[in-house]
Amino acid sequence: MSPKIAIPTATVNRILALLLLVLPWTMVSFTAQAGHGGVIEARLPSGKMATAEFHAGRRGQPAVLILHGFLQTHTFPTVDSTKDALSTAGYTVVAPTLSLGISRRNRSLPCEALHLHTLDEDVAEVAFWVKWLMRKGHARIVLIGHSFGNLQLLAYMSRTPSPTVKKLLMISLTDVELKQDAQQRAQLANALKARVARNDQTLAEVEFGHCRKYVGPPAALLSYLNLSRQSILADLAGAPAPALAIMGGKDDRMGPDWVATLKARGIDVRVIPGATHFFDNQYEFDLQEAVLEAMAGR
Amino acid sequence: MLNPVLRMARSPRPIAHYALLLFCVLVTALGVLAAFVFHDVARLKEQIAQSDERLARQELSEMIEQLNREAEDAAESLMRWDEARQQLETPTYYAYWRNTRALAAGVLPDTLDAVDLYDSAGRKLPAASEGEAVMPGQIDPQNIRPFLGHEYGHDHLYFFYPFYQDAARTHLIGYAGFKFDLLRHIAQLRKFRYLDLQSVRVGAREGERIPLQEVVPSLQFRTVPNPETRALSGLVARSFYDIGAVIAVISLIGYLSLLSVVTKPLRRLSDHIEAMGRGHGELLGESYRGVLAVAELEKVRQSLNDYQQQLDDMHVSLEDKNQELWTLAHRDPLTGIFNRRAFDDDWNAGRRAQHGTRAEVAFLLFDCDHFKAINDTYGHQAGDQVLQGLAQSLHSALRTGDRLYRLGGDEFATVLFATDIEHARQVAERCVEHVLRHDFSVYGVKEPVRISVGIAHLDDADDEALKLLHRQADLAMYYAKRPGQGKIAVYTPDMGAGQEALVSNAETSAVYEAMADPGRLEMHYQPVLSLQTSRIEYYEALVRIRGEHGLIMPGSIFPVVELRGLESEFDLAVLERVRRDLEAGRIPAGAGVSLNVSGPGIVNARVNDKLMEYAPQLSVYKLVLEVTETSLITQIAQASANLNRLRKEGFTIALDDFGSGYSSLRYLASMPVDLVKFDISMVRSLEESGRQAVFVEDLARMIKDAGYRLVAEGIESEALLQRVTVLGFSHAQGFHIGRPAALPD
Repeated sequence: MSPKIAIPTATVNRILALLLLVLPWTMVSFTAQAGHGGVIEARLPSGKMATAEFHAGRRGQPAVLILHGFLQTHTFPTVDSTKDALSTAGYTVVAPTLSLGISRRNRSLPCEALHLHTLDEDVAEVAFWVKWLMRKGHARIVLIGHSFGNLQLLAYMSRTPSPTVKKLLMISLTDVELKQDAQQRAQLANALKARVARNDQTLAEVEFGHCRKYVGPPAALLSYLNLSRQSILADLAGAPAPALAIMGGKDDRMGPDWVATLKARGIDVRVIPGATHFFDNQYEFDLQEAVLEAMAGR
Repeated sequence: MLNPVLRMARSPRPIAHYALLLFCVLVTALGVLAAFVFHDVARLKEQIAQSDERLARQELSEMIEQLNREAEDAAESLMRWDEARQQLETPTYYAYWRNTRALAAGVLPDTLDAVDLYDSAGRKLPAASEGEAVMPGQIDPQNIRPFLGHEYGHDHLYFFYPFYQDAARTHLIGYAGFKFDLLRHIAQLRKFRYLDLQSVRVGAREGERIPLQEVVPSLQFRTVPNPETRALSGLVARSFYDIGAVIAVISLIGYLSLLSVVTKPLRRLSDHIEAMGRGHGELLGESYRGVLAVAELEKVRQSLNDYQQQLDDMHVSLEDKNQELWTLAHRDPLTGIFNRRAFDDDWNAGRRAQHGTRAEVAFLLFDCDHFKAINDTYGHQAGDQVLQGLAQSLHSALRTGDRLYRLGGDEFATVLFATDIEHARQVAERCVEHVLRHDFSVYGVKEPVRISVGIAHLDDADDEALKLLHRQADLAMYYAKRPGQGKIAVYTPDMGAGQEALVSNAETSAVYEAMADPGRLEMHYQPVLSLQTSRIEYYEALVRIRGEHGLIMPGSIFPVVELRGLESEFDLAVLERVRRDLEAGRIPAGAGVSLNVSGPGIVNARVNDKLMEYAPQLSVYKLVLEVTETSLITQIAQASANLNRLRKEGFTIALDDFGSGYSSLRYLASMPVDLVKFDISMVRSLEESGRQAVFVEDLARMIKDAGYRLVAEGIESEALLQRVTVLGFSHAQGFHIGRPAALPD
């Protein structure tokens, strides 16, 4: 029979308290380590679990955060192929999927689904993943967005961006006033504001962007209506890091003067002739080449 | 005693019945076979039905299993569905999601009736409206086994699954519940082969919950009709109907063929044979001549026709034979007229025809007078010719259609229906005349042939009276034969009294007894007066027989004697009796005795010998032999010889009853006769004025002149005695002179 060893209760309690303090960091760290080279999960400050695809690159190269379009995931082809190209090129890439208020969201969220998410939450998640990269030791970070993701990155950049963000690459930078003009958006925003003002939380079903039926609480929807062409251009103008727009020559999700407007504001725009909004088909490689060139500073 | 049914069963039946029986047997056999087959089919159907039910239940089990899998898949899909996870994390707008998105987003199968999410404690997430598609508000996380609930008349299957946030199923965030409308789901599947979807019912009470594993046993359902079974049943039924129809058609054709080929010819042959049977000897003129289809029947037909042909030939031959036999049987071979058999047949037929009715009828009986004498005298050949002549004469005298019968010997008869007595008498007279006119001399018969006719007549005859008619005619005929009668006599009832002796057993017995014992004879002697001496010269011995009821007179004795041919024997008895009287001296000496000897007795040797025994008496008594002319006709030569010999011995010969018979002077001249006794009828005619008296007077004178002595019979008065005396009669006899009387002992 082995002899019993007596441990003081206070000592045990101190050990447990220490363990509780280090657990969150341990989990995130462990999760990020677990996602090295694959899908990773991370608990957001909101408590929800967010997912991303992460590929570690060569040391010395800037890390890339590439964000999908509106309601999409990181598996969206344009994003996915660009991510692969960057990873192949040796860049550390993280492609998060915005949770949109849903833990472990792994599919695009339909327009008709409940949209409880807000632009602020989206920006917070971008900030989360920038910090996540930073915690991974990356001091140079390039943000790459596609379509509406560019607006969420711009919103991040316009607020409290990390100084580690060195460049902003905007693929198919979208124009929010393409489907609804500023007046329409203003009317909708006013209506939503009125409902919010009277604390009306009933779901709003509106035509929003490319969604014919977009369902969400008035306040959540209203957060996206704060974006406008002017705010975009203003954010671009005030961005703390250089921005480059890579546009498709046949992108129909923007106005015919959108590229010119961007250029007129001094935005560096590279147009790939013939490419659509999604750079599909052979334009996928043109996009990759353009992104890699932009990453290389060429 | 045979059972009537058995008798009926054994009685022959028409062939159509057997054909019908065969048809019934076929139908019965088909019915039995059909019953067996249908029974087997029914058993097979039952087995198939049981198999189908088992398979249907298996389908139900598979359906439930599929539902279970669908529910599991739905649970998997739900857990992978971001929006579902969103509701468990942020259920603020759960009602919207559940009512709008949950079943419409295309993530969950549309067979789901309802879906609900529960938190990790098993509480259903809050939703504004519930409706019938309500799910349980609270589930037991420890017991989330599926079950079937019967609510509001609907049966729903409930499935509950734990809802994990992560794929590793380590982070339970709630529960998902699904609800299927069982019957609607079954109806939507549309893939059941054995289960009748519309028939599925759940045997559960309202609010009752049945665990999933017990759902299938609680289902009530029917199986869909098995197409193979139905096809098989239909095929079998159709086959039997077809076979039945074929058998019916074949049976009908067979029946009609049987009727045409067998029954009809058989019936015709049978009718023909029956007709032959009914023909009573007459064959039908035609037979079934058509060629028959059945060889055996054709052979029968040919055999029948051959048989009929043979019968025809035999019938023709038999007809000829019958006709010949009938002729032989009903015709007299000698005379060609109908014989006694034909008479009997016709008489009976006539009586039958008159049966129950009363008719007028006359029976005429003809008899040849002295035929025996003719036959004996001229021989049988002449006698036969005389009979032929008589038949010919009589037949010619009868009316056309009247039948003449030869009853036997020389006796003929005819029966005249619907004939009164006068007409019958006319017919009889015509017959007598025709006989008289017939020339019998061509047969060598010198004497005239005559007939006597007895007539019996009934004008209102019944059957009993007809029986007596022949007898009455017979009596009348004998009456007609009596001397002095007119040859035709009609029967009268008083005629029967005297003639009854002819056949009276008492008289016959007395005659035979007297012949056996002549002492039984009682001789009465009637005196014969000699007119020349006025003395009784001799006595005629007249025979009587003492009977039980008195004396039997000659009128009753001699018919018996003649009828039975006893003349000679009776003569011997009388002669013996008279001889005894003579020997006894009862006859006065010097007187004489007259003895009557019959015709047969004259030619009889024993009678002659007996007479010769009287020879010693001739010296004492005068012995006279009285013979009738009839007796002389027969065997006249022998009679003459015998009489001559007796005459030479000393007997006096007297011819008796002269004038009552033929009264042939030729016979008289040729006979050895001394005395001629005029018949009483001739003597009595002398008392009358007329031609007959003159004729008798002249005849007496002529005979006397020829040398004969005359004796007058029937002298019953002095005047008559004087008359005959004047006429030269030598002797007289009669009541006036003396009645016959017995001699005193």
